[in-house]
Amino acid sequence: MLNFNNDVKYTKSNEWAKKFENFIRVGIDDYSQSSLGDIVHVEISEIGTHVEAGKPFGKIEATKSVSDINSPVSGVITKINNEVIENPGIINIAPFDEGWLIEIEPENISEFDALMDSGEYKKFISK
Amino acid sequence: MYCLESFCTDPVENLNFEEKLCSLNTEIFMLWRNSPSIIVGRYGNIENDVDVDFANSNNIKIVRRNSGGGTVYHDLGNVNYSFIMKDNKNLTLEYFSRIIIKTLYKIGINANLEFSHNDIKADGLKISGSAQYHNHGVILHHGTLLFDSDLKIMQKILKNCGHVANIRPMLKNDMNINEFMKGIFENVEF
Repeated sequence: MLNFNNDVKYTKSNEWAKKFENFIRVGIDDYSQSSLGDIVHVEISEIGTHVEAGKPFGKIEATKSVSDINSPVSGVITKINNEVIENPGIINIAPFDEGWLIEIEPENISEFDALMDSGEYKKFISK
Repeated sequence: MYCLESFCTDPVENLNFEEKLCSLNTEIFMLWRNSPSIIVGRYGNIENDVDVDFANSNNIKIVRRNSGGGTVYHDLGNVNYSFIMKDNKNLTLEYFSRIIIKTLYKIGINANLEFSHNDIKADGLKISGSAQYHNHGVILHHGTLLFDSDLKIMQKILKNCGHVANIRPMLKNDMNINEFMKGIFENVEF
């Protein structure tokens, strides 16, 4: 049974984004982590890197498969969750909570507003 | 789906070529072989996996690939296959491994999938491993087929070499590697 979080928005490439006062927190969602399987390695661009919406900011390896992780919004990476670098399996256990990946200072908040909400995302992945 | 064979045997050239094919927005199935070389997964640890001194003293190149998974040994007795397709969630390791198993069956090899590692085995021994790379909406799934590799060298150079076997001695009707590759092209179904 997949978990969906109503407090976040979603991308078509299965990342989630949560808006805080000054930043957007980003991770991969439950659908993505369950499809990938056991995550064994996470690679993330450095703090200060400029990222673009829809473009990769990192890569994840799970069960012999390496996948891009795309940024939901454009902006600058201000924080990286070092816990998931040390222990990538956290993403499988708590993708929306302890398994978050980066925080971004967004350039254009309308990019966040344009992401799918939970209801739209459920319809999207069931297609 | 375009089917092609690379006649280049340089591992760096072949991996670069494969990467370029991924950017063509075309579905491709390719067979290729490398001269003796070690191919390390994107996050593989060379020191842990490879007898580097042995590799260097025998002019065996060590090359890193973009996909995940473990370190493998290639030589001209090993056939590599690559599927390049538009990505979707159904294109799992198991999906492609089943295509390969079906193809091998038609050639005369009874193989099966070992679920924990998604390896293909015959007579309980690994004959094929595979890995994937998902990038910009394209999936690259590639794998090895041990046809007539030098397993002694493989076991010497890989520190964690498992129980592996070649396909050729398992065939009821012997064929050479070119006939084997021809058989794959003729029998693979997408």
